[in-house]
Amino acid sequence: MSFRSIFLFIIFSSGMLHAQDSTSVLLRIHEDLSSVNNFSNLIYANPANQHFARRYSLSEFGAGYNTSSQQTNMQQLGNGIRQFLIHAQSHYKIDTKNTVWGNAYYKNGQRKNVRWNESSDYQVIYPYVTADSIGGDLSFEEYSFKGGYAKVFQKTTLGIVAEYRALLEYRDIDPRPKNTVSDLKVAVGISRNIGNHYAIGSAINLQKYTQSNNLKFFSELGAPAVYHMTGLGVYNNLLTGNKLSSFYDGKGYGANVQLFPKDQNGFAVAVGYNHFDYEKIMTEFQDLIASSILEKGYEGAISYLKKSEEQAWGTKIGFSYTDRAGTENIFDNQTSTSYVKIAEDTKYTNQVTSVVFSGLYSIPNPEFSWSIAPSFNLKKTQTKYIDPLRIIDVQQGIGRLDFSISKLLSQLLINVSTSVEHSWALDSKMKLNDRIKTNQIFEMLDHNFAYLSSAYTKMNLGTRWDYKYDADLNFFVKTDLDYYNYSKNKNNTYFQMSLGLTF
Amino acid sequence: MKIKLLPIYLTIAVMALLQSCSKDDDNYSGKQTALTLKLINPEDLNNVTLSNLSVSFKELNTGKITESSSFTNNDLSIALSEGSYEISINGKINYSAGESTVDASVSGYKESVVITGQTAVVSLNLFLKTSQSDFIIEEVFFTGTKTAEGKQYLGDKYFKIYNNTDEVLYADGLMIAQSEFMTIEKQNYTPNIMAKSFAASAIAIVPGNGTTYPIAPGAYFIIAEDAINHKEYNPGSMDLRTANFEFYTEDADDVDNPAVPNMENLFSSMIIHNRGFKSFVIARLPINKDAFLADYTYDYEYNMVIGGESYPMGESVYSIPNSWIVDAVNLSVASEFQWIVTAPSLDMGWTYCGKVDADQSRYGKSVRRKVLSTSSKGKKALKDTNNSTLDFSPEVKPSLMN
Repeated sequence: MSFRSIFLFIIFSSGMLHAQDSTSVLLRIHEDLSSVNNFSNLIYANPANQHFARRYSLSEFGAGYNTSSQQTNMQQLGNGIRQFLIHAQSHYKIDTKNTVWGNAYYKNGQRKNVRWNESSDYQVIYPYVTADSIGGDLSFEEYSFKGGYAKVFQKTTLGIVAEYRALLEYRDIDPRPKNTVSDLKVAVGISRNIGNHYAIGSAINLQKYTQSNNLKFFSELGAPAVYHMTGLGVYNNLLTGNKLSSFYDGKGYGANVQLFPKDQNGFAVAVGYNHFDYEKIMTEFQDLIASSILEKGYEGAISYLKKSEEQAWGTKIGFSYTDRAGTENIFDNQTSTSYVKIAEDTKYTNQVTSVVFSGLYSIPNPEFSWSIAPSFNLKKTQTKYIDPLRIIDVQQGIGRLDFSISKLLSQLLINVSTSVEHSWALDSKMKLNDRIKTNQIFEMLDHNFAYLSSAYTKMNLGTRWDYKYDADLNFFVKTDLDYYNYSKNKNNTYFQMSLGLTF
Repeated sequence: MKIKLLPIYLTIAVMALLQSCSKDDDNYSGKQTALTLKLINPEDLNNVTLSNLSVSFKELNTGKITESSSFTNNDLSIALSEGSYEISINGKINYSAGESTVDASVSGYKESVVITGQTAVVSLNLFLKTSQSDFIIEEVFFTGTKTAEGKQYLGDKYFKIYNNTDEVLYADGLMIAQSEFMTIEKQNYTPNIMAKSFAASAIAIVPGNGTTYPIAPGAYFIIAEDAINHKEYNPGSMDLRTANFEFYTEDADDVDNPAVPNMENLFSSMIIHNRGFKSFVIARLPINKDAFLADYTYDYEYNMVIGGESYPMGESVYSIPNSWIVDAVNLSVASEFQWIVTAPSLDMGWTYCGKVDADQSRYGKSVRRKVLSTSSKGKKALKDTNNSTLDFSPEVKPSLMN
């Protein structure tokens, strides 16, 4: 693939941005890993604010392998992923007034047993996926580049960041989807000092998203029907059958505002609004617009962090609300090759409301630092299709305790983190007014509902060993293990390992 | 401090949001149109009263079926979601014929009825259902079989034609025709003759002098694609040597069993569509064959629209007037169905083997008419309401397969 060569070129040329920071590499890594440093992360939606994100420059280049096995999950997402990835990231302070940062990754892997979804990026385009009853494993290649620049002009800081992601997903046996995603995001922001301690900032962001889907069948004997799903297992009958190509044409925009202490010591407030919409177009069939999505998202956080050389503590409330509405076009099949739109109706809605309360206590002494962070998240997800009436509503309470410890030796930084999380299923209901008997689609809904409404306990253990080879060159090995236990004794496990260089 | 009040504002905002998104409008079911359906009585009937009327509205995008029987005289008012509908009606009719009155069944059918806006009025013609006095199609085995290697096996398809009457009928001269149009492809075929005639892509006719092939009440005859023992070539197939007739095309790579009379090809040759997209009729020819071939050609045209480009298409085939047709069956598959290709008075439904295009599970299955009752002498009465959806059992084991 040409993906790979472009990617490697950029990775190696970015290595030229060799961090010339005189601070010991282990201290710089320590800053990067610090939970205090990542506490008020919502303010970094504004690229201008990246200027205040770090004291030190740091670059990292690594390669890793992830594997996950999910006994329960949304069928549309599959039941496991195996992937190889290489990644690079850099936060580089050119001088006191100029900061550049960026990251890049390349992933190559496979998603296992994806059902009722032959499209890609389910979390972006749901529920209007193309589907068949067969499904199977999907191979993918994905790469992403992100680069930003922030510059200080006296009391004002300007920033810009751009991010591009491309994904290719395919299968080599029937059904054979070939999906390509292209996702570009750009944001520009400004912040201005208010007094010596605080700054206020604002940014706007734009997104252009496209995905093309092409399905093929090579079997001589026949092929399954292809459905264009419209939410909660419903599909359009007139578009069912052999309409194999579609195109998702999406765009987004948003704006956000932040008020924050430049040294991260004090109150920080951030609020943001995001709009995303797309149309699903039946390419190869009159370029008919089958359906469209309009999503509005609101998020905000307010945090307080008090830090000193000896200790740091913080508290934060975050909220987010997303309202997604799906509108279908209704057709008359005047002839088989010429459908005419006669009406439209907003039949699918999905709302997610989430409030997170979190706290942090940390002893930041680099020689031996530790932190503890409790959080509690109340989350309500409501999904509805109006005709036939189908509803899935889930309310969860997710409690979590994070603990992290890191020890600095002369040549070595050891970081161990662990967390325990429990999700209580506070309330859940599934209502399917038109359920008559069981079929594969109702089985899929039952399976997804069991996953979404199940309580679970999650345990995580992460370790990272950083070995200082030179004053500004370091090797690291990192492992992460997540274990989820859902009701009915279903278990999901994730394992990842990566190694690389930091400089 | 202004800043310190922010958590309070934020918490209030979150609470308000959580409240506001608890919508409970479960009864809302899309944009509704208030529809008035007006039934038009069959022509030339006097003192008509309708009773036991029931109507079914099927929306083609959603597949949702709404049924009602709340008629006031010939009218019905109902709220429907906006969409494209297939409307079918069944009921009883009473009318006067001279001194006496007649009780009969009545039907109506209309497809592609666009219902949008606040209100809409649709009128629909009713037609009388005629009682059957000739042969009916009992079974169509059109899918063929599959070999042990998983390949399609050809040549073992057949039609089973049944005498559902109490009289001896003669198979001689019965025509069987395959439709020119497919139930999965709808175009603006011009001129549109479907209300009066059936467009045929192939017509074959039973030989005989008029009384050569008598068929007793309750008996049937078989027309096979090839009347040979197919088990010799495919153990999963069947022995069709006992068929009464077989299709045969000269100058083609076709097998002929000399012991079984061949059907006469009146127009083209019968290549039975094995995915079940075409429909079949049987008919009696009231004129001689040469006159038919001279006077009943059907030249049609349409524009095939692909990607915004329009391509003029056309074909020359034959048409069979509906009044000659004694029975009809429409075939389709659910995922691809677009329309029925007979007049609704001949058949207002369709039956199937397989639910999607080229369904792998369809092989070795047939469609077969349902049995209403069996007399003490063992004669079956088969269901014939001119609605193949109701009259046929789909995807059944072929009666000749054992």
